[in-house]
This record gives sequence, structure tokens and C-alpha cells, in this order.
Amino acid sequence: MRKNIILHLSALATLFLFEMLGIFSEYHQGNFARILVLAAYGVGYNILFGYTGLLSLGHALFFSAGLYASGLSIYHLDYNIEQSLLLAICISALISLIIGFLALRTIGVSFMIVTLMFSQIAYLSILYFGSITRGDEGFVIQQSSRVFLSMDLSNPTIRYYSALLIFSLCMLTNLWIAKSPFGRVLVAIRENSERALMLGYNVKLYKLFSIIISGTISGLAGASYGILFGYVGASFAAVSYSIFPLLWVLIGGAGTVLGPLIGAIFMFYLIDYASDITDAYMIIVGVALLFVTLFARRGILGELRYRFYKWIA
Amino acid sequence: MDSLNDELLYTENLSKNFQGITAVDKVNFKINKNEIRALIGPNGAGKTTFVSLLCGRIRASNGKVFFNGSDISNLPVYNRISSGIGYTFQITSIFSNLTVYENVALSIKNRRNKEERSIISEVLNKVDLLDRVYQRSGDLSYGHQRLLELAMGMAQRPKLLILDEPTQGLSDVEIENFKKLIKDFSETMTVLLIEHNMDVVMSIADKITVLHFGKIISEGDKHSIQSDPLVQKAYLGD
Repeated sequence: MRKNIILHLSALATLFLFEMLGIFSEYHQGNFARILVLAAYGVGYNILFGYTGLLSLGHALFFSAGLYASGLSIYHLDYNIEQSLLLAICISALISLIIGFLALRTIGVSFMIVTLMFSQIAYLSILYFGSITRGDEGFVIQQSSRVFLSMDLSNPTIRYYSALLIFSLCMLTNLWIAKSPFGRVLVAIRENSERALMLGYNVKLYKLFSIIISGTISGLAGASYGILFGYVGASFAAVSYSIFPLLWVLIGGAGTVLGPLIGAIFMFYLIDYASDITDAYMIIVGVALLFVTLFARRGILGELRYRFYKWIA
Repeated sequence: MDSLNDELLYTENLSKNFQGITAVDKVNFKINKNEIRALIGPNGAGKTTFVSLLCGRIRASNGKVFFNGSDISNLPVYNRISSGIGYTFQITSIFSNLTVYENVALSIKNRRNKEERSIISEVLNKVDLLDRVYQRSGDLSYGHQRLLELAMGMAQRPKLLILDEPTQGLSDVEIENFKKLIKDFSETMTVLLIEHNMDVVMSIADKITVLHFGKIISEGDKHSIQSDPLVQKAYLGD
């Protein structure tokens, strides 16, 4: 455990020092703030997929639940940041509970399809209720509303530290879960759910808790994204935002705490650099992903753990 | 006649039908505390279905199961396990990507760390796997995986441990060790053993129940079972 604490705190300290020492250019500072929030979303996804073994294709629902709960409450009800974040967390947890309760009546491919369907319902509802959500166009959260404890969250430096704080909270929660008896049961369910059941664990209840934790973290990431970057739009509820966290987790290493961050950095910069080279950048991205899956099928950190550092959580 | 206080588990007219096929047919079965009971029968007799009904893996079509004085017929599987029924699978079922230690630790619930470590050491010592504690369980040999599964069952500290063909695929030496282990277990728990190896059954079982076409056709000590014409007929045919 001590090695894991040192590793994960070192990663956070590095991210902190990069900003404090001014190593990031303005461009990379903005990118990394975005990556950290998205990686927090990946952490939420990883708890369900990487640790519990449930493949959801509808996590954009939870991300956008948080995004819209906080965004709409600020936009229409003049909530402050604290109130909107609290509301987003509650709404995401509640939606996760409901979706989890319904989706867990299915398993395997059916679970994927059901989660995808719920996510599409949410996406289409956002478009349908355009008078409230501003539909496809979305809406901007004014800079004057993005103030937390007298700090202007639109300021790039404060935004970076805020994103790092959110990511740290999510990542440390993940580390704690991974090392707890609860996390051990989640892994057991992923590995062999029938055996876990025959050891006396209420597998369905554990899966439901996993969905709630995963959905709430994803919702918190969604709310943070809207608040820090000032934009709420239906594209965040589209199916691509359910696929992204899956890719980050697969590339970084499913069931590793730092995997989603590594995957998000890799994907973000791969797309960024590839789109500089050609308009058909997805070809480059696709080929690169193919190589990663061929030569590191457990993901980057997952492969390192499997081959060299078995202690990595 | 057995005293009521000695009864650990009994069933009343326990039945299971699969789309018109009766796999277990109105079985009235009883097992006492600290007994080693063997459940035998030809292939397809309904042995695994019967024990699956006891631990709740499958729901009974009819009948009741009483365990430790309570009716557990409507309890879900995890509650039955938590109430003291341990089960090891016919086909080895462990958490292959977890270490030996983690596998056994998962069998132990609600214990403090120190107590958990002590139980893990004790059971792994009994099955002679203590030197492999941090090895990935999927890398163990088949025989060691069977022993690990047994250790997981022991670590649960069940009142009743159901072992479904535990010696399948073990070498003669491993089977001898296994027999000693089961004898040890019976001092602290009741063992219900499904087994095809008659040498194992005859040498360790206190009592034997023979199941055929889902019905109990004979029950008693090894001598009465060996001389029962119904049992001979079931195994050898007319």
C-alpha cells in the first residue's frame, strides 16, 4: 500500500509542480486542465468497467447529468457554484441508482445495449426540451457565475488547479476503493461473479453500489467541466462521450488507478497532433490505437503492472 | 434415532423439475452435525442439482430446506452462504488473476486484519500452500488450485461444507492428503461430499446416501450400501 500511496501522490505532485514551476505553456495548461477533468470522468468509468467488469455504453448519461444539473441550475436558477455542484452530485447519484436498478436486470451484451439506450434517451431529451436546454447549440455559463470562494474559475491557473483538485479527489477515492475490502469484492465479481456469489456476496447489490459510485464521479466530472470551461452542450451527451472513457481506460489500463489519466493524455494529444497533420486524422488515431491494443492489450499501465510492477493498484 | 439437536440440515420433499424432467424428486434428506456424508449415484442422478438446491444456486420447484433450525427455502444464495453453508465447485472456480492470499481473503468476511491474516495462514498451512501465498492463483497446478478452493471453503468457517467432486483430477498422493484434510475438517464442521471415487467415499464417509433418477434409493453405512441390491442395480444395471 505504501508504494501505491507514494506512486499516486508523486503523480499528483508532478502535475502540481508542472503548473507551479510554469513548465506548461498556456496552450498545454489549458489542454491539461481539460484532460484532468476528463480523466476524472475516466476514473468514474474505470470503477464500473475496470474494477467491476461491467461494460457500459451509456456513461455520457451520467457525465451529462452532472453537466446539465449544475449548468441549468446556474443558468436558470442563479445557483452559486457550491449549490450547483451539490445538486449535480445528488442528481447523478439518483440517476445512477435508477439506471443501475433497471440495467442490472440484464447482463453482458444486454447491459451494454440497455445503458446505451438510456443514454440515447437522455441525449434526445436534451434536444427535445430545447427551450430549457438550448438543444444542440447549448449555452454558455457566464464568467460572472463561475466564481468559487471569490476565485475566478475562468482564470487559466485557477482552472488548472481546480481541475487538478477534482481529479485528485476522484483518483484518491479510486485508490481507496481499490485497496478496500469493498474494492476486493468488486474485482472478485469482475473475475468470477458466480464464485463471488457462492462466497456469500450479494453480487447485484455490489454492482449497484459500483454503478452509483461510478455515475456520481462521472457526474461530478461533468459538472466540473461545465463550470470550469463555461459551456454546456448536447454533444457531451452523445454516444461518442460514452466511447471516450472506454478508450481512455482501455489504453491506460483497465483496473489501474492512473490508467484513465494516461489514456486521456495519450488520446487527447494523439488527436491533437494527428489533426495537425491531416483532416483525416482519425486514420492515424485508429492505427495508433491498433498498435496499442496489439502490443499492450492490458493498456499501458496494465501491461507495466502485468510484466514488472505487480503491486500497482 | 438421531436427536433433533444433532440435525444440521434437512429437506422435506425437495424437488426440481427442468421443463418436465424431474432432476430431484421429493427428496427427504438429513445430515447431522460433524458428520461426513457422501452423496453418490450414477452420472445424471441429480447429485449436483440436489446440492445446488441446498445452497440456493438454483430454486426448488417444491419442498423445503431447513438449516440449523431455520427454514432457508426462500433465502437467496448469498444469505444461505452467510448463514453457514460453504460450497466448492465441481469444476475448479477460483479468481485466477488474484493471488492465493487474495482468493482466501475473499472468503473471510467481517474480520479484523490481524484475525484475517491468521485464518489465511492457518488454512493455507493445512493445504500446504503457504509457500505460494503471493503467487497468481491461475499459475498454480490443477491439484494446487483444487486445494486452494478447499482452503477458500475452510476459510469461510462454514457449519456445512459441500464439496462437489473435490478429488477429480488429483493424483493418488494428493487424494491421500485430501482424505486426511476432510477428516480434520469434520472435527469442526459437517461435510457433504459428492464423489465418484469409491475408495475416498468408503474410507472417509460416516454415512452414504445414494441418489438415482433424483430419488434417494439407499442410505446407510458403507457395508449396508455395498450390499444393497438397489445400489448394485443402479450402478451395474440389470
